[in-house]
Amino acid sequence: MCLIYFILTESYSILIGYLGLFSLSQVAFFGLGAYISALLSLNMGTQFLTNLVVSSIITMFIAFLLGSQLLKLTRHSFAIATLAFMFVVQLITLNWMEVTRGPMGLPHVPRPNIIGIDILSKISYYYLYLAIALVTFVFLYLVVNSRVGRAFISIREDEALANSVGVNCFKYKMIGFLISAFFASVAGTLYVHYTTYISPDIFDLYFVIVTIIIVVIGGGDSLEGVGIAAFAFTAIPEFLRSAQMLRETVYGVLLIVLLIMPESIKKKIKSLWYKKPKGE
Amino acid sequence: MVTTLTFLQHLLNGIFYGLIYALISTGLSLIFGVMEVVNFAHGEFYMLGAFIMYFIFSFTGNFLFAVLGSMAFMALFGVLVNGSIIQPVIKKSWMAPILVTLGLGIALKNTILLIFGAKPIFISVPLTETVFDLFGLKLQAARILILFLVPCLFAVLHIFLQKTKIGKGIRAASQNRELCDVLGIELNKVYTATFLISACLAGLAGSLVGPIFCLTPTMGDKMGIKSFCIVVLGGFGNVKGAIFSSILVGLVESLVAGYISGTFKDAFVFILMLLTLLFKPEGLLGKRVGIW
Amino acid sequence: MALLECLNVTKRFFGFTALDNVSLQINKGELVGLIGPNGSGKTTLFNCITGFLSPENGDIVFNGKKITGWAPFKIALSGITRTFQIVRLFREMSVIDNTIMALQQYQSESVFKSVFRFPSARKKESVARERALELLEFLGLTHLKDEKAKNLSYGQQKLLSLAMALMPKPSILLLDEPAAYVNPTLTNKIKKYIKMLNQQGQTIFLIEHNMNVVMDLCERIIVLSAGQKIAEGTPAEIKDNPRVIDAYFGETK
Repeated sequence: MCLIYFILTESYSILIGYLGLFSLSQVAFFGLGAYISALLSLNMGTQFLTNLVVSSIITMFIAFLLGSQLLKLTRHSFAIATLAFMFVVQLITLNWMEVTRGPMGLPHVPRPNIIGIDILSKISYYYLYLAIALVTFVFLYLVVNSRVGRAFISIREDEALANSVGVNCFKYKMIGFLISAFFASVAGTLYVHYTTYISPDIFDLYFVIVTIIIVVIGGGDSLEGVGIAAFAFTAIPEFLRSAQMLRETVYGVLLIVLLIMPESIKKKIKSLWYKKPKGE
Repeated sequence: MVTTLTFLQHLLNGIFYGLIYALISTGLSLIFGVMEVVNFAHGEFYMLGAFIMYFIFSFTGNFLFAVLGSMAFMALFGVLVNGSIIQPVIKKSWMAPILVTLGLGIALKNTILLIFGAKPIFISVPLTETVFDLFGLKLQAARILILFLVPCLFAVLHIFLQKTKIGKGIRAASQNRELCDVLGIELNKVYTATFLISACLAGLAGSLVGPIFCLTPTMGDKMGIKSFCIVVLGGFGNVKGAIFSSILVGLVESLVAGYISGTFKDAFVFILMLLTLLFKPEGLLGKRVGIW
Repeated sequence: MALLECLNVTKRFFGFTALDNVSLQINKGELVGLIGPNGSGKTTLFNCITGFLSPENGDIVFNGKKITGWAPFKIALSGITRTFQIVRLFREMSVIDNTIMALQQYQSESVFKSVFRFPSARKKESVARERALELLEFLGLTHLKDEKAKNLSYGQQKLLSLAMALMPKPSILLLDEPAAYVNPTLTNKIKKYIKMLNQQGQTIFLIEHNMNVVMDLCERIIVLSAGQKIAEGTPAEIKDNPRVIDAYFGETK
């Protein structure tokens, strides 16, 4: 599970942390990827790898359509519009009975089967997902440290300036949006093949909050930080399983506290995290 | 005669809902117009108002007192929220207040859930029990009250914004914050007042609607989303626009529910909002400077 | 053929006319100044030229091509760069990164190649880096190259923004009040740089309030007042022009 969150939030951090583009659709894409994979498996009998690729491409396409319209909006409108998109997706999955069976969800999604090997035990899952997560991380790392990543940061810092030095902001925003949607979908596929069940619950605000918290704690613009946070936040709840509501309250409060905390404390905590402190 | 009656019934219902939406959306639009903060916890303000009213009511048995008490509490709560979590982060980044309100919303919802449980709570109050029959139109006393009360409230708000010092300060701040600073208008007081009014109105809506339907900790969810949509329709930060689109949405929803289908009405306002965002982001009424 | 031409440019904001039928020409290699009282439309003109604003009427022609209505980034890529009146930088990025960012000419190199570190992309990166170091050296900022932009003094930030504007070897450099808010020593330094650059062939069009700077540097001056061009000529002509004096009326610098 940790790994799933890892992929989801790392790619999210690109969007929020590096680009400064506050999108609330990440979980929508996560769910979309999950649903599409499930539907593909159940209706067409496709295998894990095919699902992975196909659902992610479809999701990316949807993201492209969405982005071409929404990326023109101002920050606040964009945030709300992406949130609205998520609710629309939720409504659709909830009501499109013929396809998604609404709130009952789609059970019995088959476990992954790679080149003939059935992935059944926890350990095999672990290795498979670890491999995928590593690939994700490497890819994102490459992106972030390349000219593309710098362009992202420039857009976040000062979009007008970026424009006046020749950065095609729209193109880069779209790229960021597509990348995060792609990996969100990947995470979704992994999720559905692990839990073998998907329902509209997945679009609950809970996931949105958690992903945001992870990105915020991890520091938004540090891939490593977000990674660590992702692990922390998926490991801990496993112990607190019973108190779901309490957990949510804590998360809510945590979000608030984190943001109120003055920068200096945050930096101190951060430098405790890392062996080589980021010089400031 | 029957169809005209039904139509009138729907119309009245629509206005009723519209006014409730208006109460909530006004606050949301106000906060955004003055402080550029999107209050994701606004739905929870609505819900909180209802539950505080219930809490007081279960002790005193006096509905009026409970409502007033809830308003007072929400006013104070609004001030507290502003002071303790909005102000500290408002300068940090434009995202911070949004995240903070998001967290607040979740925390509030789940705390109430923990305290009161998930089962809907029904309150019986003379206002909701009395139903007048006017030429075949069924009118719940509570709804009539709202029909009269809310416009009066808005009239009061109008006077407040036009005549009082703080009211003018609010209007000024929504137009040009830096200028206010320079002119010596106390922005702190303005912010406090803004949150106070918004929380109060939202809470009032909650405590009035609670007895009419029921109270659940999740009642804020749908209301919150809808009021977002309405605020978008009316133009962010345009309070008059929010009121206008509230009524509009209320009417259309009611008519759609009555004549087409009930389930569709919720999706409708969403779609409307998405369309507005895509084609007319300034809102249906177009650009406007300032909130009133 | 003029390098940059503004033809009857008119820009209105909600009924307020910021630019009224403004026409002018900048030729290759010139150092032209744009002056005028506050609010006369100078920065608005710059914004129209660089694509941040779209004029209601009129055209901007660059190198014979109409660029009116082009997106700002496209205009930047075609050879027009600018600085801003109040310095704008990528605050969280280092000085050298800021400078490298300013060279987007290798945009034609695909994104894919850059992410996956293809040799061609890497080569272009090192070329960019070299040029950035050159410029920083020229402006005396080399010792600060790894410092975050937000930690620089205002004067250093001004120089950095100049470096950024110079990175892509622009056909024309637009400077919006380069001497604003800086002490006299730095003003002289900036004057010196501008002069040097122009002598090396750089076409420069600048807005400035500081009359010393303008009169000393510019070979030609254009004067705007209330959105209209009221005069054009050499510094000597402008200094004694009654209309110009009238427009400023009492403003001496």
